[in-house]
Amino acid sequence: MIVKNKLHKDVLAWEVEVEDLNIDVESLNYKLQDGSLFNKITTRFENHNKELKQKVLNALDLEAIKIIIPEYKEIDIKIFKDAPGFKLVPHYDNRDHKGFIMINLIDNINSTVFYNINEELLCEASNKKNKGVFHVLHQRPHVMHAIENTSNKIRYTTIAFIK
Amino acid sequence: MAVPISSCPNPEVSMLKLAREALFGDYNGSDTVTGPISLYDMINSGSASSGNTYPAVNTSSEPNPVTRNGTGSLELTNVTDGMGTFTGSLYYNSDIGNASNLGLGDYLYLNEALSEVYCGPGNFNQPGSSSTTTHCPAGQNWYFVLNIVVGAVDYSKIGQSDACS
Repeated sequence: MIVKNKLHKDVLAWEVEVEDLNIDVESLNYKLQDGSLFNKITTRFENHNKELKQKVLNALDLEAIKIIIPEYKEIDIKIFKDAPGFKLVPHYDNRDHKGFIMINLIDNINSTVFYNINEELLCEASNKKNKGVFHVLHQRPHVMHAIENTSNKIRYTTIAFIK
Repeated sequence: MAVPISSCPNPEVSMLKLAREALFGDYNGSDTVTGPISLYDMINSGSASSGNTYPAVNTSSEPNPVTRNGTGSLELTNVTDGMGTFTGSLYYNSDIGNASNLGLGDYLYLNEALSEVYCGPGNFNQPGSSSTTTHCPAGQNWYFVLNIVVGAVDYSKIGQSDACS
């Protein structure tokens, strides 16, 4: 994983790029997310293949993560399929999440967008395959993020929740 | 707790258990109740005909009920859950006053009647404003956690309230 340029001067988020993960996302099995993180969301599905999750974890730069979030204890990898209409309104994430790394598994239409506390758009992460964003949470100035699949295409991503 | 609406498969209402609920807030507990048990005293409070003194309000039971004090509800606006799956208002007993007074142990509901409980992971944020409907002033953020209890009477109350930041 290469940590590249910062997306915005007021946002602790950097573009990241990983080697091709070579995951055939369309052939995977997905189950509706279980509500433990995303309450009542019926447009986000999750793949639970442990080997694939390990593959994603192996592609991350743990040293870089340790430098940016020294206190992190755990990395929880999720592989998501987001149907058209999937939407998370601007939010901060749970307090036990210290950061996240979102990586596009295909060329998606939409990507993570960042807002200030007044919900004014600050910047948007890459939507390109093998690229994404590394965001450090709960720092000042307050920054929220959101995502919406406004297209008629399925969105595939993997997210490393850093706790 | 509260008095169960039903106890399948054998519905049972017991004077002894009603007394335990009134005295100790534990309908199914094993606390000692001294006889006689007067239904009049349980309803009206006191010990005129009872071996124990019954309280006017069963404050050890939650939420006993949340609408007991106050003349209605007030709105906590622009609340968002931690992961962005809910955004909207929550409501609380008007006896609390401005939202800046909200804190640990206060009950929050989805509707003005204070009867509908938010079901889901209970991590929330509210950006501050100059309005009385936000906990924090403008430019700051309030993070709080709702403990959601589903039982004979559903309720959700603030189990963690961080300082404005």
